[in-house]
Amino acid sequence: MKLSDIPQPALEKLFSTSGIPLQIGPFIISIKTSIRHLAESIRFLYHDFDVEDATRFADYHVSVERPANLRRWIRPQALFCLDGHAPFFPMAAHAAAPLLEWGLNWVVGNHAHQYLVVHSAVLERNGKTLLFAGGPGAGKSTLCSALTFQGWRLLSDELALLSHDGDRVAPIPRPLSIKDASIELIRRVAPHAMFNPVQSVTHEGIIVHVRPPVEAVTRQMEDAPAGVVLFLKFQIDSPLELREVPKARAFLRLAQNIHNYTVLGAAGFEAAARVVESWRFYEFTYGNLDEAKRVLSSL
Amino acid sequence: MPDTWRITSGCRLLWKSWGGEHVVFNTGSASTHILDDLSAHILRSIEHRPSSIEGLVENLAPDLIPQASRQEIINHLENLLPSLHALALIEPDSK
Repeated sequence: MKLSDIPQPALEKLFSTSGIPLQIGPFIISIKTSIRHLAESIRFLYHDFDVEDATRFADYHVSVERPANLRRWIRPQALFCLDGHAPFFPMAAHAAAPLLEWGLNWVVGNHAHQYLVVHSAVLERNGKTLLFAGGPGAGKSTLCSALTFQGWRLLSDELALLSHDGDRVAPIPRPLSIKDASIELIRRVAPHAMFNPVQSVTHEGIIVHVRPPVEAVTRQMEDAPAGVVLFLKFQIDSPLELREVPKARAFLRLAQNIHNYTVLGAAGFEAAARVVESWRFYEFTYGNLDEAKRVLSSL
Repeated sequence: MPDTWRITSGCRLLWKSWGGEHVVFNTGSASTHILDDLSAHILRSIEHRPSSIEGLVENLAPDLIPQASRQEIINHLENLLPSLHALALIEPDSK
């Protein structure tokens, strides 16, 4: 059964009582909330995801609820919890949707040690895999969103789950997170994308989430092969530049983007080295989205 | 400058090399470093057995610094070894 198959009233009741276990990539994540607008956002964004049998073991139990103090009513807040423990301070309740997504990033990045969890966006088309790495403002999500709605399969907008063998990447096609000026840009290049009607104003700017395409969700158990890692750099009107990064330097830059590299210790080092052997690495500077899309499509 | 250097106690080094550059992981600190050929050669020598500057110079393959004089190599090592120490890769051998 898909999440969209559950009628809204029943859905809100399930979310606020037992929680709803969703198959999200390789994980079953049970999500609980009694915040109505968040339940509506989840229904919209996770529309095509399978609801798992509640008797099955869930990998993670998360909740986003109003805190049990005055901030439940006065300038209401929302609190993210994993197994009843809150890893972050609460946020304004109107930002509950981004809070859930950030919380899920934290959960996977800090617990899914069967993978190298790389802070990056990943896409695949015809067996070619592109992984975009780069810091805030590098244009990962913008480029990822633009290509997602031009025939590339979305594997992840935020976290790449690389096998310790280095040669596979597991999809976790959660909603695309688009910020500020990129919102209008993606509305223009992907007019059929399903934008969440609710935008959130957060400390990171205005964020809106986009529903992942049906194909990305239905193929979320299909791994993609090793491909190309692009260390992105966006500079307005900069000429496009694609430069190969030597392996040892690529190793350090990759390691800086692996959430659980230090936790994994020697196993993480060996796994990252296998990734470096299996993938090719480039520095990719772009200043024009259309030009970048054209070049990446021809890679 | 200590007489002899050794790998930091309790550490094990893991190595990967690509195209004349070397990546070393220190299991003691969980830190990763990139080294050129010469630095990697020096660190591997110390990993093999504790060494003094004199000993390191004696065992240095001539092709690593073909143009350098013995004194220039010593000067280089006098800078390099404290740097490796600062990265917690080596320490003075107190034996």
